[in-house]
Amino acid sequence: MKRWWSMVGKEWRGTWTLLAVATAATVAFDIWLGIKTATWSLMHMGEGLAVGLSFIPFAGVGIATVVAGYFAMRGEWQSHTSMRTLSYPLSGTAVLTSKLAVILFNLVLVTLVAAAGVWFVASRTPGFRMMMTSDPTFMAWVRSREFLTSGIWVTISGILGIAFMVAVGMFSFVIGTLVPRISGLIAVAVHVLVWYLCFAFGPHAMYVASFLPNPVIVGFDNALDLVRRIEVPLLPLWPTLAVTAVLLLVAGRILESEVDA
Amino acid sequence: MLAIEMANVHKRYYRSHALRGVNLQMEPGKIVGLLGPNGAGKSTLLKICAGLAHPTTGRVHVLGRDVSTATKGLTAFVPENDTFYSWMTPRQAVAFENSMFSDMDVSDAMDLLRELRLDPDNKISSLSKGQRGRLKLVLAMSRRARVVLMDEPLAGIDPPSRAAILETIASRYRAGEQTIIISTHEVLESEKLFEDVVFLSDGQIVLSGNADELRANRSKSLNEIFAEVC
Repeated sequence: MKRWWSMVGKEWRGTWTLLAVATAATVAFDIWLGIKTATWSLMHMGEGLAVGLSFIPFAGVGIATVVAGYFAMRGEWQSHTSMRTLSYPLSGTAVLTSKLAVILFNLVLVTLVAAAGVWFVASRTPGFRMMMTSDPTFMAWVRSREFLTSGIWVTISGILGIAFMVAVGMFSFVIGTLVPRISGLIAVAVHVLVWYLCFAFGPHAMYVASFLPNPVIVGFDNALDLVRRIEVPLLPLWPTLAVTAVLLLVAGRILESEVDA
Repeated sequence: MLAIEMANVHKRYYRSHALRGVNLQMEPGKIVGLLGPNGAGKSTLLKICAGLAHPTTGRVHVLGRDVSTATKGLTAFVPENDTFYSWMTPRQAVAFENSMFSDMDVSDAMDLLRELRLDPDNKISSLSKGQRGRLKLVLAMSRRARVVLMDEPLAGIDPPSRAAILETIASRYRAGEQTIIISTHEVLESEKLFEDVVFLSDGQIVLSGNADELRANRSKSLNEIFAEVC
């Protein structure tokens, strides 16, 4: 475990500048939007525009989530540090999970900053203040007992979703290295194939998972002017967890036994 | 127990063969020269022993075990390329290696850094090629690794640094308990270090044996034998 933590520390030292830049850019963008909101709110649809734009950093996080796993691995091979990293007495899965842990931390942190930015921008619009004080659905949701647990499960699901996508990137890179001359092409093909298989077999996996204890997210709806409680079971949770673990284990095993540094 | 044992090892990269049926047995506790021209398969052979490349066919044992995560803890690999995390300083690199290998001696590493005139707090990215070559040596020789694999440790290094590297290998080598395998095509400078030699050409072993016996039997230096067989 000591080696794994050292590897995490090494990964962190290698990426924190990028994290600092991403966080600073997000904060600066949200502050700029926050300042503009006061003026834009006077325009037609202006406050909607401000809140809408505050979601832009999430697009960056989304793109980073898809490519981060692949590029974290590719960087090692491009700088030849793969030869050092793979010479350590660590399993392939340990190498991958150390990278995953740091990528996850970075992406979650930027997501939280982006979410805080949305809140900051929205809270400066008159419509939001009205919703906070008079929207019955919102009030019911915030005051519900399940607000906190639902929030926690949504956060866990989000983190797991990011982990899954990063693991797909890592897996596709590792498979790509087996065919060096067209490794990029193979990695893209594997990436697409994994997604296709997930969509193709996802409903079946969720059906199987429905027999397991699944957490529930509670929301509220006000159709027909009646505030109604809605429960959404998190059926993708167990299949996503299982597929992520399998991808990391298989990629780690291939990294140990097949991949040349 | 043999330090390295290879049985019928082939390694292919597409159509080219890096190794063609290598059979090799290296006794423990010796400095072995792995000699051959560029493209002979020396680096591939060392990488396979270090677990950084995998044979297409054949069997490889290091210290009596299949190459695995466990054998990586017993071997030190000095690659030809720069493989440092460039943001580290030599001191951080030593600390990091120490966290990875239980046989690392940090105080010995710091002594060796001083001996080789390396500033422990300079960024690795600012070191010259010669300084990086010396740092690679520090990281490998301050471990009590039972097998040390050095891939072209003198390649592209300035003469003073080459002399320092060879001197350090000779002085730090723990005769009898450590096996050092040095691949090189620059035989003249390093031949006095070798106890055993393996000549590799076009992925095959063309000659191997005790360095002194080969010199005596052929009345030639290793450099001359190299020119003859490779």
